[in-house]
Amino acid sequence: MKKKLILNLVITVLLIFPCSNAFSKVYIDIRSPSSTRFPIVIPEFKKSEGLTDKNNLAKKMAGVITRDLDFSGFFRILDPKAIDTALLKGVTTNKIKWDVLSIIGAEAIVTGRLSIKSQNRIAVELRLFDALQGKFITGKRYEGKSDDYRQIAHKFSNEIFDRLTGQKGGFSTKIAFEKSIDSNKDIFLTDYDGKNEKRLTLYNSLTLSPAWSPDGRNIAFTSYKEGNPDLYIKEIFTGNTRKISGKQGINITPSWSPDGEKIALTLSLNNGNSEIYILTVKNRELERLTRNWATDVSPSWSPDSKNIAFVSSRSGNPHIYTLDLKTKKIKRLTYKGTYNTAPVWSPDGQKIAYSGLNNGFNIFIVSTDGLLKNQLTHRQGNNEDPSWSPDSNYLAFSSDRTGQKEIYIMRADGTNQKKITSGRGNKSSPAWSPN
Amino acid sequence: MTAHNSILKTNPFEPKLRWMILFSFLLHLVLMTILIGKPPQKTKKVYFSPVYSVNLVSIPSSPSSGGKGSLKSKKTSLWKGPSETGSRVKTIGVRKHRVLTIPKRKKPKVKHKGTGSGTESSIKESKVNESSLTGGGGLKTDAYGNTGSTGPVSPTNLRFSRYYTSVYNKIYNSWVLPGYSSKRQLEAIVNIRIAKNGKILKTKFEQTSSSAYFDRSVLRAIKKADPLPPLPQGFNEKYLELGIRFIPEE
Repeated sequence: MKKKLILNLVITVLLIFPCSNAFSKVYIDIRSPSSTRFPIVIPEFKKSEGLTDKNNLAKKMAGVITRDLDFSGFFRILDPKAIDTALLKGVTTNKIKWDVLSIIGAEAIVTGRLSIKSQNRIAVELRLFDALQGKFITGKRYEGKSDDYRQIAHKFSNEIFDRLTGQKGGFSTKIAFEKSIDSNKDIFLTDYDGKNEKRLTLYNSLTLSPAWSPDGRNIAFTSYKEGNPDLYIKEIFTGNTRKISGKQGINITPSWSPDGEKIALTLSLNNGNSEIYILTVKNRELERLTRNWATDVSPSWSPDSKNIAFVSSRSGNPHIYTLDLKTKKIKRLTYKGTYNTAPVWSPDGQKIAYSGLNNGFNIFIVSTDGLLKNQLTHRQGNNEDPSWSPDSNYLAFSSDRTGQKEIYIMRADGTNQKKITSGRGNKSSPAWSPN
Repeated sequence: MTAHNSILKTNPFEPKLRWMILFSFLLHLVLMTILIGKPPQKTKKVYFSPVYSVNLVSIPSSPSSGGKGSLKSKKTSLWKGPSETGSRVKTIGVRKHRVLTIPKRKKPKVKHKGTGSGTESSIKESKVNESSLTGGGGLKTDAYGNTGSTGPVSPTNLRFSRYYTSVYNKIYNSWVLPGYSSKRQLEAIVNIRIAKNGKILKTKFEQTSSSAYFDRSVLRAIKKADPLPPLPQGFNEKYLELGIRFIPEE
C-alpha cells in the first residue's frame, strides 16, 4: 500500500511540475526596418550564343527595368559594373557567384537571356533571385515583337515590384495628355515613362481633358470638333468614338465613376452657369448635383463612389469642396490660397491632390478631412492638373518650368520629379491610366 | 454495534483506508487550489524592445516605447522542447531612452532536447522554373557587446539585455522592407537558435505574416545578420533560443 501511495505521489508531482519549472522565452521586437530601399543589381542581359543584337536590346531592356525600379523609390540600384561578368556565367542559380553579390550589398539580382525567334520577334527569359540566400524568386519567359521590348521589360518590372514590395507594380500604365500643335489641341498617349508616344485624336480642333474609364478601354474627352465643347468617348483599341453629351453650353471635365457606368461632368445648359451633373453612360440620363449661383466645375469621384470632389467659387474664390452623394451635403476642404482647382481623389481614397496658386500654380495634397495639407512643388513655374497613378504612390502633372508646358511624374511626397515628354508643343492635362 | 465491530475486525486495512481517503482528499484539495488559483498561462513570453543609453553606437529611428502594452496571446512554438512551457509571465519594463531595468532575476532551466525543428496581346508570357538551388554566403562581422565576467547567467538577466540590444541592432540594420508604410498590419515571428560563437544554427517561423514578400524580407534580415555576436560568457548551455518579432509600425 505504501508503494502505491508513493507512486501516487510521484505521478502527482510529475503532473504538476513540468508546467512550472521551464524558463520564459525572450522575444526581441523589431518595429521598423532600417531601410525601405531594396538594394538590387540588374546587369546587362545575356544573349543566346551567336546572336547579333543589332539594336542592343539586351542592354536596353536591363536599362528599362533599372529606370522603372529607380523611379519607384522602393529600390537602391547598385552599379552592375561592380560585378565582374566572369562571376555571372549564366542566368541560373548555379551560374552565379552568390558570395560576391552579397559583398557588394545586393539583396536581389535580375538576370536575363535574349534570343531571336524569327525576324522581328524576340524571346527573353528573365529571372529574379534573392542574392542573400542564392534563391530563385520568380522567372518569366516572354515572346513578342522586337519593337515591344520596352513593354516586355515593364512587365517584368511589375513582377519584381510585386515580389519584393508586396504591391502591384504600375510600370505598364499609360498617361494620356493634351498636346497643342499650331492652334489645335489633341489627345496623345504615352507609356508612364514618356516613351512610346501615340496620337489618339486628330480633329483639327480643340480636344481637351482626357479621362480614363476604370477598365482602361475608353477615354472620355471634350472636343470642339463640331463647334460646341461636347463630350465624347473613344474606345482606345478600336478607335470607335461616340458623342455622349452634346448639351447647349459646355460639356466639360469628365470623371468616370469607379464602376464605369456614370460620368460626372460640368454642364452650363441654357443659363450659362456651370454646375456638376452625373450622366449615366448607357441611357444618357442626367442627374443634377449642384445648385448655386457660383461656378461649380471639375468633379472627381471618390474611389468608394460615395463622394465627389469639385471646385466652386461660392465663397468668392475657387476652392475645393466635397459633396456627399447620399446626403447631398457639401463640405469645404480648402481655405488657404486664392485659387484652388483641379481636384483628383487618390485611388486609395485617403487624399485629394489639386493645384493651387501660391507663387505660381503648385501641386498640393490635402487629406479628405481637410486637416493635413502638403505642397509638393515649389517655385518652379506653374504646376497644374495633377493625376494619380493607380497605386496612389505617384502623381503626373504639367509644368512650364522649362518654358514649355511638359508632363512630369513624381512620387506622392513630391520627390523625384521627372520630365517625361519632350518635343514641340505644350503638353497638359495628364491622365494616368488604371493598371 | 457488534455487527459493526465484526465488520471492522474483518477489514484489517480499515485505518489505512481512512488515512488514504484523507490524504487523497487533501491532495485533491491542494491540486484544485493550485489549478484554480493559478493565473491563466496564455503568455509565457518576455518581450524585449531595446533601450538605449548614450554610449551605444547606433540608434534605430523608431525603437519601441515598450513591450508591456504589446503583450499578446500567441500560438505556441513550433519547436519541441521546454522553452514554451511553464513559468509566469515576466515583462521587462522598457521606456524609450531610459536604462533598462529588469525587475528580478530568474533562474532558468534550459533543457533543449534534440533538434526539433496586359495591354500588348502579342506578347506571350510563361513561367520559367529554377530547380537547382545553392547556398549563399553570409557576411562576416565582428562580435560585440559582451562582458568578461564569469558565473552562470540566465537569458533574462541584465548581461543578456545588453546582448539582446546587440542582436536587435544587427538584425534591425539588416532589415530592408520597401513599401512598409502601407496600411497593412503585418507581423512575423521567427525563432532562431544561436550557438555560443553567435552563429545562427536554425531559423524557423513561429508565426508567418500573410505576405510572402514580408516573410522573405525577415528571413533575409536574419541571414544578413548571421553571425550574431557570441553569447555572453557564463551562459552554460550549448545554444540560446530567441524569438524575433518583426512588427513594423507606421
